[in-house]
Amino acid sequence: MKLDPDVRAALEEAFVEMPVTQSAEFQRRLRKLCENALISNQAESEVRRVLELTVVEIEEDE
Amino acid sequence: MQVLIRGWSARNLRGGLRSLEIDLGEQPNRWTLIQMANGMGKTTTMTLLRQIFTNEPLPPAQVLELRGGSEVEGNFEVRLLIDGKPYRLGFEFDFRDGSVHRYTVRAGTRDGGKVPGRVLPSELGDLLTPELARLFVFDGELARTIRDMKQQTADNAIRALYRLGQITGLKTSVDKLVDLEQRRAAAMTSAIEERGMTRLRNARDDATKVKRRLEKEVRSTRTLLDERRAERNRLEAAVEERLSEDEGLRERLEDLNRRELLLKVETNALGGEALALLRQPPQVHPRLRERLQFLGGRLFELKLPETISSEFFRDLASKDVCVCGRPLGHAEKDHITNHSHRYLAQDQISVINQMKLALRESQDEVGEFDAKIGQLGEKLVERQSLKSARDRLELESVSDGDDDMERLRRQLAEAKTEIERLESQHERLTTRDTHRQRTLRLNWESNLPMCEAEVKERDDRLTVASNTRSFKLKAETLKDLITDFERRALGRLRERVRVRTNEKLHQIARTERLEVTRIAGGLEISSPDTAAKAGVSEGQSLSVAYAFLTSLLSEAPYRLPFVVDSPAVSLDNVNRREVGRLIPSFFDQMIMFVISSEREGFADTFYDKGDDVRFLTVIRENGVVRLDDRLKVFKTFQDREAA
Repeated sequence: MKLDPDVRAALEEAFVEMPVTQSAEFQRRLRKLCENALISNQAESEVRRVLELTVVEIEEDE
Repeated sequence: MQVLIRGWSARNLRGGLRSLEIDLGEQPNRWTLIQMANGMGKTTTMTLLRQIFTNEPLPPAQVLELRGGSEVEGNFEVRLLIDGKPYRLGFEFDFRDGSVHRYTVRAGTRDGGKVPGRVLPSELGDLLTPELARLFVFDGELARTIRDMKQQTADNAIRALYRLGQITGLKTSVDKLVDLEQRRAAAMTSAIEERGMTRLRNARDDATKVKRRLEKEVRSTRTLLDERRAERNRLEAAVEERLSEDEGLRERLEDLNRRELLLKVETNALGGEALALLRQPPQVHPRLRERLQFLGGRLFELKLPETISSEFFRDLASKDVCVCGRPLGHAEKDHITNHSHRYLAQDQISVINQMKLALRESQDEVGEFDAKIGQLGEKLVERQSLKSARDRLELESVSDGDDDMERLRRQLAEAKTEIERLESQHERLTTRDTHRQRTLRLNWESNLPMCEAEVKERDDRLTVASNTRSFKLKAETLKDLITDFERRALGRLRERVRVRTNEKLHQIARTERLEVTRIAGGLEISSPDTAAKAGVSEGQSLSVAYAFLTSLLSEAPYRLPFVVDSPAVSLDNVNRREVGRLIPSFFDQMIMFVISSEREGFADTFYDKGDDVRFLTVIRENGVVRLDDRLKVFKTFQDREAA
């Protein structure tokens, strides 16, 4: 199922507002994950993959 | 995804539902108006329709109240078309104990039809919650609660229909993954917080520093050892040279050297043979051999590996003569074919066979290992004897007044002592033999291999903790993104529904213009001519609810039917005409229960809609309920109770 245009626009806005820029692959996979979630068809492996692709800023304490 | 209602049936239920069959056809009309008198079971039908779509449990008290007569069982079933596929959802009531059995009938499935419970396509199963069912099997109470900003009814409706809850569910999935990762990491470390990370990092660094120190000690010990060994070799050569200078001693020295060389060759050969015997456990000791033979005796009888041997029996059974020379007749061939499996086993049997063979062949070699060890012992004694002879030779030279020889011997003794000390130190630093490590009471701070293992273990702990922390931070980032996405999506959808709602309201509520100014949990209503509207009439409330629901349901990704009871009874004639004209056009299917007073101004707007509309009248005559689908009957039906 394709995302509703307003739902999709909300996701794109949320991407832009993230403090750390995420990769195109992350964004593509999250869009797909949301589409699958809407039809209750998301797999745990897909969630894990998106999670692994998430870029964060880690402050070193050394 | 589209859901249409094809009809429903009720049996042995109260009101007019003792035996009622509403058939809307294989392909239902877009609009159906069902006219029936009050008390004929409209409310019960609406309630059961809501409950049958969801997994909401039916309490026994409710089931018992449904009982229509003396019968102990009753049922209610609704027939659906879901994306063109027929489904039947049903309740079977037992009025003896108030229990209910749910069932689903699906055509064209492997289970052949009827299965317990509500079994719908998974996305629909998640979608159809009690809250959503109240929207499309319209609960009049919603018209009031939908304006209550505290009750979240409007927001929940948007969230349910656009499945934002499923997006929220992704955060739960993320949490589960983090929990899984943390449990895995907990086996190694509990340090996920920054303080714990620092502690682990320091521990790893401490071990690394010790490793560097030990590596340095190993290098310096090796250098010193090399130097001392070179010194020893030089001193030994000098002693040899001094002895050779004495003609009386030279001949004895050469004899000693020759015997030492021969002893070395013989000892090496014997050592090799003893090692080879040591690799055959039965040769090492009679007790070990006894135990192995005991094990061999317990292994099952000799069998052949199946893969390569089964073919042998098949070939043999096809021959006319056996390997033993006797002729093979039909009986013998059958016997070979039918009994060959007794002699076949899994292919691993060949390993066991080899073990048994090795045990049998080792019978004659007992004691050989002991003999070799005895011979090696003799060689050790001989070596000690040669060493003593060399010492005597050197002492003779010293006693003859050779001061240089005395100095050389002293230096050589000191060098050997130092070499022994350094070799011992080197062993303590470098041995990997766990038995020696225990004997010498070594630990990771004094032994390099143990230190390397400690560094690796501490590094692994740090890596796992670090990965877990990184994983957790990623999870928090992803969940923040999803939360932001949900908030933005809800905001956009609220605004879209609000604008559409107002477009409809302008057409429906003509007597007094109304507007939805904000959706935030509920609907905030105002009149453009005045300020925020505190009180609205029942008719206005219904108009707002219809405008909102049609805006919501008509643009949602799920095309659901809209079922409503007495849709226009509280509207004035102007508004009900607009409702009748506007609202039904937004649904693929709309089922309306009406009473006779709603014909004027509402039902009559459908009279000229041709094949798209169906008019049904439920009539009770002399205690019998029947269905009439003629328009003229619908137009003239007199609901005495309503009147």
